[in-house]
Amino acid sequence: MSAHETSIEVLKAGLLDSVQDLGRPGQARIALSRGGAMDRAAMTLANALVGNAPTAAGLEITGPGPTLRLRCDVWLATVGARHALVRLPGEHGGSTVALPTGRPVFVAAGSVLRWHAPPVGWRSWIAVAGGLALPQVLGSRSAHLASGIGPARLETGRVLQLDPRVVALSHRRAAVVLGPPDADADADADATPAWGRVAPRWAVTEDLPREWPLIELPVLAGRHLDVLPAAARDALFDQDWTVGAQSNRQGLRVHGRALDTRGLPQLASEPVSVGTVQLPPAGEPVILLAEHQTTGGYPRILEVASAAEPLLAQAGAGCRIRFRLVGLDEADELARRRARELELRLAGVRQACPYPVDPADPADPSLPID
Amino acid sequence: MNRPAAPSAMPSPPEPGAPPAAPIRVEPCGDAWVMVDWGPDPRANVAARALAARLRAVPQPFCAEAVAGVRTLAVRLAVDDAAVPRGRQRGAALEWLRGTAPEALGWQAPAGGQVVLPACYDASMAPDLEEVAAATGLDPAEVVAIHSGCTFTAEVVGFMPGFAYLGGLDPRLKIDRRASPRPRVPEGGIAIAGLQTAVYPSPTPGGWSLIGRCPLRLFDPARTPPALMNEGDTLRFEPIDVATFERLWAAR
Repeated sequence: MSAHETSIEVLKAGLLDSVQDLGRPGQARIALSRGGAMDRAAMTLANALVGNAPTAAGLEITGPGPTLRLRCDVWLATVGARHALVRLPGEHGGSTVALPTGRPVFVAAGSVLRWHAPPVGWRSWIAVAGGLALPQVLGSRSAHLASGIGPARLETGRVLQLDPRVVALSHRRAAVVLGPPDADADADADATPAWGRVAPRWAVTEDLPREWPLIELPVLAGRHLDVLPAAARDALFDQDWTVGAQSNRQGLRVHGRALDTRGLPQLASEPVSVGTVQLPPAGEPVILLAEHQTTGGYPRILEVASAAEPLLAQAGAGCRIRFRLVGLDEADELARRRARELELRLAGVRQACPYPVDPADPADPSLPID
Repeated sequence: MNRPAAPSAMPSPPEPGAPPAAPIRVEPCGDAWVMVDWGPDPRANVAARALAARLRAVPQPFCAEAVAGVRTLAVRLAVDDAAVPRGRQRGAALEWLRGTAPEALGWQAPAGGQVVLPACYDASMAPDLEEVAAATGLDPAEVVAIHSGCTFTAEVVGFMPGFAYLGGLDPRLKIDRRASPRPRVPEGGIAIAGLQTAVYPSPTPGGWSLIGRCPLRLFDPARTPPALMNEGDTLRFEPIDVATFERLWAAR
């Protein structure tokens, strides 16, 4: 099968689609922030659902998603926001069919898939068996859009190469989950080889804000919170902030009753990280995200608890953010619980999808998680 | 070129063994990082770079990453919440850093590379040169001579890939940031603010005064290391004319 045939074509780009994996942690010394999937647990889970290693590259989609044509059979999973996934009438005709998310789904060559804007949440992650076949740059295949490193954001017309083994892998892995193909099924349009169904009946639970479009963020006091006058501190916690339209993968700009920043000291630039909440002179906080600048000189008034990173990933323009001050003990407990939940979900996936390790191919980048 | 003499009014640094100028703060920063802040001590930046270098050379089990700031060091905790609880790693980091941070004030700056950056100070590439000259009471040629006569140190690598805050600007060129930032500084723009200079690796908004342009590619992921300027490097700028700039720019 030629490389041309093992690929995905972007028929219509979504609001912001990019190739992502777990990013490039540990490179702040060259001023490169981690980047990668905004919710790395969701990306890991999507990869696990199709039998990939956690490091395989997939897609991150934002708000109204893309329309993609699959040029080959693909075993695919979407995890994250409540993006409604449909298969449009394709080369084989037929009608529009809803496909499930939160689980692997077998999609036949020629299918056209569309991810509609999610009613809840903002971003999802799509994994395909074998992963996207892109060269690594500085240890990752991910797009760091802010610094122009890695692949560009997806535009209409772009063709994404898949691992050349994608068809064989997809058939093998679909058979592991769905059972052997049904020889008697009507092998016309939608399933080659034919299964009575294209996805399992279970789904992984997804991590979405419970009171959407309100996101309550657990935050720790930042190093410079105490330089704020008491009235400004109260105003920080007393109001719901609205996520602004200029937000991107670098940071969330939130709007509300501006805090009084008069008299705040000039600070020497210092390292900042995902979840650092800075207060620029205009008095409206900025929450740093995966592609943040690595140093900053504005007062850092809060630090979002690590466990809340998946919530940050779901914050889109117009949704509201409420800061809830927590202590280190609570933040640590939230992190421990989240790690435990991810472990349990991955264990569940391994049980439902017992993909074999192929000993003949130790270089397979898509070994199941062990 | 007739280079101006070094200024005589540089503050003399405290002795290596002297106590810190203010209490050193070592404290958690969020739940995943620990931060050391040496305060206004003039040895703080060297201490931050030296301690970061030590943590990279002799890894400590609690440390996943060490990042130096102007006078701070941030340590990302090596946590895998399922295996190693955050609280334990944080405790280990705080204890080790509280013991080591005062010592680091006596350490030497780790050796960096020597970098010479070609710089075109032609008026066509230095939109703020006249303004800087007016503000400092110098003429543009003197500004250029002073800037290209300085030896800079890459004190902090940050902001964006390829960027470094270069300390060591002659105080005669000290000038505040511009009142309103430019929406777009061109790639290679050489700028000054306070006692620092910098080169912008890619087009970006910027609030510093532009006095020249460097034709080299400052960051290239395919290179090892990818950045021309790395933490602790010693740098100076070599004046070039427009024709040389064009030739080097075309050759990248």
